[in-house]
Amino acid sequence: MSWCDSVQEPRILVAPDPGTDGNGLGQMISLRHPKSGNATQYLFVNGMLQELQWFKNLYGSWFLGDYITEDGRMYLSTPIDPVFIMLPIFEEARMKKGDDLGRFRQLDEILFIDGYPGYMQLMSVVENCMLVVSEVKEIGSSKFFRLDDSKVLRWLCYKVCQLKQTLPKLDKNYAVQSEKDTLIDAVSILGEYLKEKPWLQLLCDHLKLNILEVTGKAQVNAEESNPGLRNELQEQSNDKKATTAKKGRQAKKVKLETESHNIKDMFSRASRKKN
Amino acid sequence: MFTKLGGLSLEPKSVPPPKRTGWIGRGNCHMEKATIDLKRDGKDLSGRVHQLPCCVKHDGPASVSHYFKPKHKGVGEDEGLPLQEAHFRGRLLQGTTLPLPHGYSGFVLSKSSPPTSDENSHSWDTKATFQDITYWNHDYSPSQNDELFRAFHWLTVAKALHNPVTPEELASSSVTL
Repeated sequence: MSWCDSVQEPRILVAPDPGTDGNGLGQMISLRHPKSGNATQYLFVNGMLQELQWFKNLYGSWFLGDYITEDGRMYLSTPIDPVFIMLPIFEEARMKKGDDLGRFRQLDEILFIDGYPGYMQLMSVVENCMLVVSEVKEIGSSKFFRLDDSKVLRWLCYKVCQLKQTLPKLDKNYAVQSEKDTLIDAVSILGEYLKEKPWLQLLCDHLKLNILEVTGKAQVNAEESNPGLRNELQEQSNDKKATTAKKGRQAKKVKLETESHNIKDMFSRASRKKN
Repeated sequence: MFTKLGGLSLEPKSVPPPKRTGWIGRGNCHMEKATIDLKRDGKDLSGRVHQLPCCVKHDGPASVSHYFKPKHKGVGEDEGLPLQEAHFRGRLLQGTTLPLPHGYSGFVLSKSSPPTSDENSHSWDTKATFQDITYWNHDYSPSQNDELFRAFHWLTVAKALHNPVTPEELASSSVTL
């Protein structure tokens, strides 16, 4: 029997290799998106939280061996640092008012969110990862957590540093950018996971950046030839239309017409001939 | 050639602004309440996964390998990409094969009928795996500025952005911006 005999609604997924030690069985869980607060699907597999994104050319289909699938979409699943997901949850949980530092809370209290049972599944992961941005008090066998602004800021700066080192290695376009542009790119990528207030604003203030440079970068880049990743990371809007990814190809030299035709014309003609 | 596959439609699912040829979405992946079984024991399709620059109105088996025969055409002058050529419906396509980054695999998932009565609950099983993707352009040579190349940039960026940090690492790092 061929592998494709029983295929139903195929999906093409590129994901971290499950390896030999894990069983590869993943669970889709619904969590709030850390920036928008909207319900968003994440993949939890082998104790690792992953975010799903999809890429689609305007026109595309797949040949998969001797099988064809019309939908040219490709899903990408990449690990996500759970701290991003938990920041708004821990921020709400401490019930901070003004200069008051807020309350210490137990994890099961923090992670009990009505309508989102998925958070409870992350209990063991969260306990370890949130130490980096929280103050922790132990009373007996119980641990109490409270988000710490200075630790969060230090953690965010560390992430910016990592991105600043990585972006210039991606391609020539990034390599020739000024250091400030690379910094703005790094912060705007980070900004895809952060609410503007308090964290993105706090980070921009610390780095002496105007927040409008960061949040407005996506619109500006649409007019420029220098590509950036921000548009590629936009969350899907509620009407399920996805935001467009930047084309990023260098402007082509104008060629003289020599009986060349647009691919759209050619393929639509081919379709009409057939009918 | 490929006359049994049905017509080619070039209507996108939703109309993006002009001058853009691809788009990316996050999170809403039509796999709600699902389990996904990522296994490495499916059929290995490496070298046989092709992303076409047109929409083929067909889902199902077809004699692809009988008709679609890519040929290696050496290395591109500008960027050193290994180039391939193939014909589809008489149109010349130019392509290149991208190996998946280290630590990643490709999976062809298929929806299984829900074992429970919950209609919204599904499981997705691995039917095949792959380690590379060949993508095809119609009227221009493959380039590192192509959308698929740039989509894979995200895997590199995600590693830098989402690598977990321990309190010890943070304390010992000298974060200089």
